[in-house]
Amino acid sequence: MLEILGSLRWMRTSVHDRCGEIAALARPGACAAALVLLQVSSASAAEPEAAGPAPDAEAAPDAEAAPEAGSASQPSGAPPKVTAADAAWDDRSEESSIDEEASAAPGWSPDVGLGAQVFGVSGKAMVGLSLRLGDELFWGEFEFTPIWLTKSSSDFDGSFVGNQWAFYFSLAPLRTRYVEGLLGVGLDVFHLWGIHSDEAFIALAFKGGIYGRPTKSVSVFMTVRSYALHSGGLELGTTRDRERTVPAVGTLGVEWRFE
Amino acid sequence: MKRRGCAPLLVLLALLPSSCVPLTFSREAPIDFDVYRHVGVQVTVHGLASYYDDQGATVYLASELQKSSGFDTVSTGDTTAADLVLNVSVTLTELVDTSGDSPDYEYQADASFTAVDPSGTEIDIGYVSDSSELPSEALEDALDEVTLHYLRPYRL
Repeated sequence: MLEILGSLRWMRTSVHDRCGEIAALARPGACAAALVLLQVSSASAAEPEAAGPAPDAEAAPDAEAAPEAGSASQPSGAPPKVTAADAAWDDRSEESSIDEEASAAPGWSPDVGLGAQVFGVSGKAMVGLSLRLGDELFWGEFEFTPIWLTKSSSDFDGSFVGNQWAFYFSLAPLRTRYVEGLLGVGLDVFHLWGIHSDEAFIALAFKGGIYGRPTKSVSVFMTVRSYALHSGGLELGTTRDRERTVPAVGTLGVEWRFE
Repeated sequence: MKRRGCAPLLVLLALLPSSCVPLTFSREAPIDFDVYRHVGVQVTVHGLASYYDDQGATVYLASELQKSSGFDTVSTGDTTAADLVLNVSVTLTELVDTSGDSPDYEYQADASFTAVDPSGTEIDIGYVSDSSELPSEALEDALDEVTLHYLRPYRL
């Protein structure tokens, strides 16, 4: 038994010493593969005599002497046979571990709602897209809406003035099979690049919405928003003649839900 | 359940067209464009001036003002016919960020401007700043900000 262990220790030392040469001749994983093979062999060699005689018994005296001398770096005697290791063993193990992780990790697949909506504004046409991503309670919402004037003005020659962008974070405290209610806070950005490339207004907005779901994949929705803070020059609920009305605007839309 | 859930929504859908609210965008004029109809523009560039000379910058600003500002007429130079002379001083600075693997260059343009009438009275004063990865772009962006300041007033 001691002879077998000594032989294995010699082999491990030799592999360490020759690692540089092996690395130059073989794939980088070969050295590690050989070492692992030796570790496995050591473990199996610790089993009782049932494992059978060592394949190369001549190395036994030298192997016994080596640990006593305290010099493992220069083993003597003929090296025992080493079974060739599969150089690609580590690649396969990495792949399999990745597969295991992928199958074990619970993936987050958010619901996606893509919609079209029209703003209830007078004097302008605002029809655009809405996109929301989330999962039951939490939703992130994005909006893009081009803006045209439907009421001409002596201050502006054209009709296209720019577009609205919106970014909201919303909660859906009301969720049933047919009705969903959302409350959110976010930013409405009006980039009026039809007037000037740098002209923009921004507003901090609060928004509420009700989604009716006649089918699982289609919703009809209505939202209402109001601006808590806004840039000077952005007036919600005020006419061109400075007449004040309700400072809240609604939208109506249709949404396709992808779950 | 399905009918009860959709009924309020249908009522709201029917009500919305009659509840359109106004949304107004407006910009006030910084000066009285009825009084100051003709402006003369002078731009001087400091710092990395080799990227854009004074004359080129002046022509660029004059064309932008002619396109978008409230002035009826824009001319270059200190013309005696102008109701107002707009002097713009732009300083172009190179900013180098060496924290990454390779240095990142950014250019900042700081523009201060003064509008004076023929009697020498200061009518308007301002400061704008912009930055870009290209020096010429930074300068043009800063001059665009000056144009934005004198944008034609509107209420839409």
